[in-house]
Amino acid sequence: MPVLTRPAAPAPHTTKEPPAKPSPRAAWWRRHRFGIAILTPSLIMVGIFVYGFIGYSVRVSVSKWQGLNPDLSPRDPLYQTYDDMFHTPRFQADLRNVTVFTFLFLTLAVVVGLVLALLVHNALAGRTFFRGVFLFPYALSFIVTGVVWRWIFTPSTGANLILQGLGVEHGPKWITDPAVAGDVSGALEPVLPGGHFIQVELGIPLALIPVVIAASWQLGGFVMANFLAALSALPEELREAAALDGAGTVRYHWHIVLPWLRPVVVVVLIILGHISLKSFDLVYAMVGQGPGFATDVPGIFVFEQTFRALRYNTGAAASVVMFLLSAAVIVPYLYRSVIREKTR
Amino acid sequence: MRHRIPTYLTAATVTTALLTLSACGGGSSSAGGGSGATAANQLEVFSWWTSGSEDAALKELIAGFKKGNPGVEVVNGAVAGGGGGNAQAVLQTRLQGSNPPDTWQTHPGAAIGEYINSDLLADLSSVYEKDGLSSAIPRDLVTSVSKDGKIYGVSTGAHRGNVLWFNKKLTAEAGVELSASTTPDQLVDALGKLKAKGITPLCLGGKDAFATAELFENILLGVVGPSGWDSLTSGETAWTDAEVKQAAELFAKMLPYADPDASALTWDQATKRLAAGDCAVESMGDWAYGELVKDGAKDGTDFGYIPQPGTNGSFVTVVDTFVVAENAKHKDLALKWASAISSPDVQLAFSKHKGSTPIRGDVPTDSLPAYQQQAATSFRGDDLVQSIVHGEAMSPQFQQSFYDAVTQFVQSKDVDAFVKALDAAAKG
Repeated sequence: MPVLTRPAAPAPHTTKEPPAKPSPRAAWWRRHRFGIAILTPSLIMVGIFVYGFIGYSVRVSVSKWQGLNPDLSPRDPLYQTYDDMFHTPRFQADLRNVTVFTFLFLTLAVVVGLVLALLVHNALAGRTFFRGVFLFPYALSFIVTGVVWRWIFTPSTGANLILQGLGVEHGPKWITDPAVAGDVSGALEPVLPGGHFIQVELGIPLALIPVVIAASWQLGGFVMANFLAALSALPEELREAAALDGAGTVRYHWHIVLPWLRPVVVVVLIILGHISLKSFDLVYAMVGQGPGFATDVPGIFVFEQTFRALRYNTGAAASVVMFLLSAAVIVPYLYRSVIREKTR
Repeated sequence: MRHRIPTYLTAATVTTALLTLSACGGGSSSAGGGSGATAANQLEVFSWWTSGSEDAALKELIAGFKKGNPGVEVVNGAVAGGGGGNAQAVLQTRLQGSNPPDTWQTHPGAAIGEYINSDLLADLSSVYEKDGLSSAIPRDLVTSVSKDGKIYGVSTGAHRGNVLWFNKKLTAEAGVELSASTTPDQLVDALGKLKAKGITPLCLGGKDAFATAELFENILLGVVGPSGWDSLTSGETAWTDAEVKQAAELFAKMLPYADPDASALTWDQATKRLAAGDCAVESMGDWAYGELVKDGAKDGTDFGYIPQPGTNGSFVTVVDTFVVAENAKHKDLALKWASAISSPDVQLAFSKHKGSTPIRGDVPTDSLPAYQQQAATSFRGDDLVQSIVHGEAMSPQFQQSFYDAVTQFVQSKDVDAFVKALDAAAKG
C-alpha cells in the first residue's frame, strides 16, 4: 500500500522511546480496517437484499400463498408447488425453450462477435466508425428490439416480403411456426421417472430461432467490444514471431489469436449465459408465449403466475428454478477463479 | 499489458449493470409521480388507461370530479402496456407495500373479490345510498361488487365482450350473410366460403393469450347459454361436461380459419387487419369499435357487427369499476370521486370516449353513436353474463389456467386434455 502509508519524517529531537512493536492481531486490524469499513455496509445490504430475499423466495415457494394476502404457512408436502409446476406442460416447455435458447444464442452471439471483432480489428480504415455501428444495438432497450424484430419476422410483413421479391412464394413461418424439430422425448421417456412425465416435445422449437437472431443482433456488438479489447492487448511481436516461423494468416489466428481470446470467451459466456437464462423483456415484446408455448420462457411464467394469477408460491418456485439455473452457470466459474487465486 | 483486459471488462460490466438498471427503471417513472403524494388536497387515480380513447375517457372522469371539487389536484397514475398486466404488477407491489393509490380501476366479480377478501377496500354503501345508485344500476352488477351486504365498487361503463365484427366488403364478396340469427354452424360454413374465395376468414390476435381465450369464451357461451354459464362458473356443472366438449370441438373447427400470422399479432393489430380488409371476421369485445373507427372504417358501410352466433340475447359484461382503498391517504376525496364518476352526466361523457355503455339505466343514450345505442339496448334488456377472460366470473388462478389451456389447445386440438385441464384448474 505505497499510496496510503506516507514515510514519516524522522524526528531527531524527540526523547521518547520508540513505540512497542504491535501485536500481529493489531497489525492485521490496522492493515485491513479501511477495507473492512468500506465493505461492511455493502456486505450487510447484499446479505439482506440478495441472500435474505433469495431465502424469502424459497420460503414463499413452499408456502400456501395464493391471492393478495401473504400466507406463509407451509404446504403439505413441502415440495407440492414444485411438483405441480414441473407437471404443467407450460413449465416443461419453458425449461426446454430456455435451454435451447441459451445454447443457440451463446453460440451465435460468440461467433458473430468474433467475426465482427476480427473484421473491425483488421480493418484498414474506419475502425472507430464500425465499432460504433456494431455496438449501437446494445444501447437499445430490449423492448424496442422486440417490437422491431416482431415486425420483421411476422410472415406477412417483414423478411418474407423480401423473399417474395426474390421469387420465394411461401417463406418460412418464422415466429408463428409451432413445429418442434428433432423431438427426442419418446427416447427419453423410459429413462425419466414418472412414466408419462414429459408432456411436451423435447427438441428445437423453430419459432425460437428468430428470437435467437434478434438477441444475437442486440448483443453481438457487446461480444465484439470484449474481443476487440483483448485483441488490442495482443502483443504485435507475436504476429511477427509467427510470421518469422512461417505461419500464415489462418495458422496465426488458430494458434495464437483464438487461444489468446479464450479467457474473454469464458467471461462473455458467463455474462450472456445469465442474461439468457433470465430473459424476459425481449421475448415478451417480440413473441409472447408463442404458438403452443413455443417461445415461452420462465421469466414470462414467473411474471404471469405472480402478478396475473396471484399464485405467489408458483411464481417464487419458478424464480428459484431460474436462480438455480443461473447458479449452475456462474458457480463453476467462480469456483475456478477462487481456485486460481489461491494457487497463484 | 495483460491487466488491461480485466479493467476493460470491469468497465463493461458496470456499464451493463447501469444500462440494465436504467432499462428497468424507465417504465416505472411514469407511475412514480403519484406514489409519494402526501399533500392533503390531492387524489391519486390509478388505472391502465393510456391509449387515446381510454385517456380521453379518464379525463372526462377527472373533469367531472373537479367540477364539484375545485382546487383538488388529481394525480393520474396510469401505467401503460401489456393490456393492464404491467399496471397490475405495479398495483400488486404497492398493495404488498401498504402504499395503495387512493382509488384504482378493476373489474367486478372475482377480480374485485380478491381485494375485498384481503380487506383492502372501503365500503361504498354510503355513496350508493346518497346517490340512489342501487335503483339505477342493474341488480346483478351491484351484487357483483358486493359482499355481505356491503358495496365496494362504483362502475362507470360496461363493454360487451361477445361481439362478432366483420368486414362488409369481404363478406359480400364471398356471398356471406351474417345476422343476429346466424347459428354457430352457419358461421363455420361462412368461414369456409370466405376461405374458398382466398380471403383470410378469421382475424385473431394471439400474441397475448386473451384474444384467443375470448374467442373460446364466446363460443362456449353460445353453446351453454347464460344459465349454463352460471352453473359452470359457480361449480354446479363440471368442466368435463359434454357441452364444454361440444364448444371445444366447435372451437377446433374454427381455428384452422384463423389468420396464419395470429400468434405474432396483438388484438389491435388484428382489428386493424379487419379494417384494412386483410381478414374478414373477428370475435372481440366492443373496445374494437373505437379501434375500427380510429382506423377510418365506417360503421354500417365498411364493417358490421352481430352478437357472437349463439349468444344473441346475452351480454358478456366487461365492466370498468373503481374502488377506494380502505387505508387511502385521501379517503374523503376518494369517496367524493366515487360519487362524482357515477353521476349520469359523467357516465355519458365517459362512455362517448370509451365506446362503452353507461352502467346507469337512467342515462339517455340517443347522443351516442349507433353501435353504442344498440349495445345499450342489449345491456338494458338482455341476460348479463360475467366474463372469465377478464377475471370477473372466476378467480385469477382459474383465469390464468384458462388462458394456458386455450394456448395449449390451439396446438394440440386435444379436447379431453383441454377439459381435464380446466376441470383441474376449477378444483384448485
